[in-house]
Amino acid sequence: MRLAVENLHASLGGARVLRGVSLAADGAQFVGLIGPNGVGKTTLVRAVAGLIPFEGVVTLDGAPVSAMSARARARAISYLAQGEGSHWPLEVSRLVALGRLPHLEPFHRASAEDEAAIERAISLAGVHEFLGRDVLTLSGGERSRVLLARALAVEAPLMLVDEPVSALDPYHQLRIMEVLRAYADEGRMVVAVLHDLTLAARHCDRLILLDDGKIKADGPPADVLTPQNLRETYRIEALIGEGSEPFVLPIRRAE
Amino acid sequence: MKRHIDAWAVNLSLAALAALLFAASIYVGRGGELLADKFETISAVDRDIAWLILTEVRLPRALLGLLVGATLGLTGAGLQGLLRNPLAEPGLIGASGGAALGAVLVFYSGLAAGTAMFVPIGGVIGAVAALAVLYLLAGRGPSVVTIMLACVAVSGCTGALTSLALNLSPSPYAALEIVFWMLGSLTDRSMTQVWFVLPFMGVGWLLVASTWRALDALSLGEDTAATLGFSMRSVTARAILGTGLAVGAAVSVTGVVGFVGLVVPHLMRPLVGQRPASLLLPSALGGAALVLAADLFVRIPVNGPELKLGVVTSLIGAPFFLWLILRTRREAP
Amino acid sequence: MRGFAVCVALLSGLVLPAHAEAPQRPPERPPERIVSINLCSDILAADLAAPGTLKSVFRLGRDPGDSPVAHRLQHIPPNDGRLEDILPFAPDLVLAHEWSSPFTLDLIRRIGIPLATVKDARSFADIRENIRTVAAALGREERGETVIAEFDAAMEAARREGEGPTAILYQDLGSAATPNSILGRILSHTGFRNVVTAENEVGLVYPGIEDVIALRPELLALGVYRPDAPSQAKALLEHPALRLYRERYASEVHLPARDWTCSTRFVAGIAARLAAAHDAMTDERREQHSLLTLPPWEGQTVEDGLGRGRR
Repeated sequence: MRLAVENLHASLGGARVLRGVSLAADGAQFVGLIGPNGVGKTTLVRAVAGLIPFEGVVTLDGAPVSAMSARARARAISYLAQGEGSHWPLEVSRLVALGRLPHLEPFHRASAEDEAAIERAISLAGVHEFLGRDVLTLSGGERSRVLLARALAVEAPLMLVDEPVSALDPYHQLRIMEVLRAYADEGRMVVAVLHDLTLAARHCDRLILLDDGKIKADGPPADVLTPQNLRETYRIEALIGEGSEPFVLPIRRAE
Repeated sequence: MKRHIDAWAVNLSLAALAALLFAASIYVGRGGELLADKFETISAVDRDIAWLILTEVRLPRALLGLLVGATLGLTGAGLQGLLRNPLAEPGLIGASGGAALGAVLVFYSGLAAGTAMFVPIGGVIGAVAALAVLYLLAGRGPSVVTIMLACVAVSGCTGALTSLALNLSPSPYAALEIVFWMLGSLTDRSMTQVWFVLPFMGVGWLLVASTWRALDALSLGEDTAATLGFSMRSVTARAILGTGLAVGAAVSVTGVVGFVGLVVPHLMRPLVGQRPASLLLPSALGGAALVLAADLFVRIPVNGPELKLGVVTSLIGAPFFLWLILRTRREAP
Repeated sequence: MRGFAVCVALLSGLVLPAHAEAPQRPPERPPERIVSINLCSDILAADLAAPGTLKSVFRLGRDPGDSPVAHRLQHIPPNDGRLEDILPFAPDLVLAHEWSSPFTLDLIRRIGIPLATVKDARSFADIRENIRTVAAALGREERGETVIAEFDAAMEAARREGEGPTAILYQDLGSAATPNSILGRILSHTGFRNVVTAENEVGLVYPGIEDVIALRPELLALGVYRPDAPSQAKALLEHPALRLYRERYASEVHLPARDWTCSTRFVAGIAARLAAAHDAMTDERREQHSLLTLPPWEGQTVEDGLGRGRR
């Protein structure tokens, strides 16, 4: 699977948010999309998912996504929105099964293959124990895993995840990151918008740092999370730990 | 798959209930008088007349009860799924009011003199217009407050315009005819009217039903539904047009029958595991059963005019609605 | 009947019924500036007032759909029944209905304008009494007696005796006249047996179409109000079951509502129509009696022109 974005421009409410983003990614990898608030991370993910109009070209294996049918695109790209939730008190098993909608033929019930995919997503996300429960009665951390399982069940070669760990406790943050890591290790591409730089440094294969609608840095975490980059984009001074247990600890604002 | 058996059991029992009430609607007359009594007389003329009553009075009434009830239940479930809001209902969100306005404009302007088919068409146009306005006002923000405010605006506006149209019309009974349109009834409708509304309802039902999987996907919001392969523009258009066709045709013949689309999906939801898609069929069947049952209820009084069907459904629905609001408030403070 | 009067009252925004009141003592000189604020008093005044004394009538009184005397009132300015409409005419007599707005009536009384109200007539005696009331208020008692005599003669001409055919008087809005209503009395006066036997204060019952058919009336007398204006009320009379029943089993006569909305001497016209229907039906019954034992009046209706053609 090859994702290519060429010279992407996009606007939100009249304001230019993305100004010429180009990137390419191949095969199985876990890509972290980082950058301060408002630089266009979510917009970039939504453009790739085909949710907003844009200028430029986004291709999957050479095929422009804007030319794909909604169904074909839904099978190729799964998307977990920021703060996604269920409007109805759905049972967890039914909610996860929604991930198979792009694969269902009209007037056909879920096939054995669909059931297997749902089963794989459930075990990958570790949500077996909640299956019979109403999703609205779960805690925030449990609910995020259930919603992630829904996105996993699509089994799309590319999964876009927008801020999957915000508002979760450290345990659940780690759990979600491990699930995403495992999904990428199965041979798929994961692009996740992340704010926690330590989590990004520890779990991602590659980080893309966005600043002001453009790519500021792109590469392995150690190359991207440099003191200079952090100062110029995030406007912070940070304690950066390298080696096998990397971390980024913001210390103070840079003036 | 135990769940499918459950769904089938629910649908089958509801279908049986609707069929039972349909039969009762034909068999039981004013004040509980039974049809058999009418056939008991010996003379052939009497039997002919009993047959006339059966085929031209009771059958269309029962059929319309079935069709209108199914329409209200189905579109109520569809709208709730589309707007992701348990308070959505054709009557409350103004589709019925818009339909009444459209039908009234056609009926009293004398256009209907050409062919009575124009009245359902007027109802359909009115309902679609009201829904489109509502969607523009509140469609993308599924907050209860926005939707309810938009509904108040649309319903109030269509209600006032309907009254205005009736007041300006040459109808001798303006004041009384407002009641006809605002509080629906199935009394003394004819097979002609059944044939008129059937095509509109059929197409409307199919359009609403065609959104069923998208309604499931919409449980997770519009963006997620879009990335699950559903074109939101097409889904919205089908749901609104389908609702407009079916509700517009229904209202143009029976007037506004409120709250059925609110109460029925809500009662069905726990039975089908809350899924919007599996809610459609049970809601249609349940709606038919509720309207047929309410229409049996209005026949109880022997003297004076029959009760209005809309009065009965509103008497059931309004307290239910209040309870629902209280519960919604408790759940999402 | 009363339903209709209520409709008329609703139309004019007058809803609260008031009690009948005795006409005020006629003044020494007959009134010369008369204003009528109700359809029923319009009709009476048109018959009884001296030429030139009627200065304004209620707007419905000039409407051919409502008023049998509309053609005679076209040159008289209309009013809407409100005090502000009345005062510019500086009336020395206001004619109203017992159901006219009590607020308006009270204002008229407090201003001191002489007022006469007609009552809701439910019998032939009531009709005569209303004529006498208005005639007395106008100081035209003699004219009143002449109108009464004409009315009595017309009614006498329409009288039919004996166990005649069964009939129902069915109106738009789905109501049927009871025996104690004015229309019910006319039915029996013209020799029909009303299939509606229940009596009540209102003078109306509401049988559904199904009940109308099940009562098997041999004559369907249809009260039609403004046949050209679209209304759901009228659409009821077009119901296929009722139409089939009329075509196959019953005679039919149309009774224009303007002749009976107010019970005035014009109900004699209704009686004449019913009497004609009675005659036609008994003639046919006599002819067919030798041929058929059961009388389903199949395919036969009272000769055309009894109701359909005329407005």
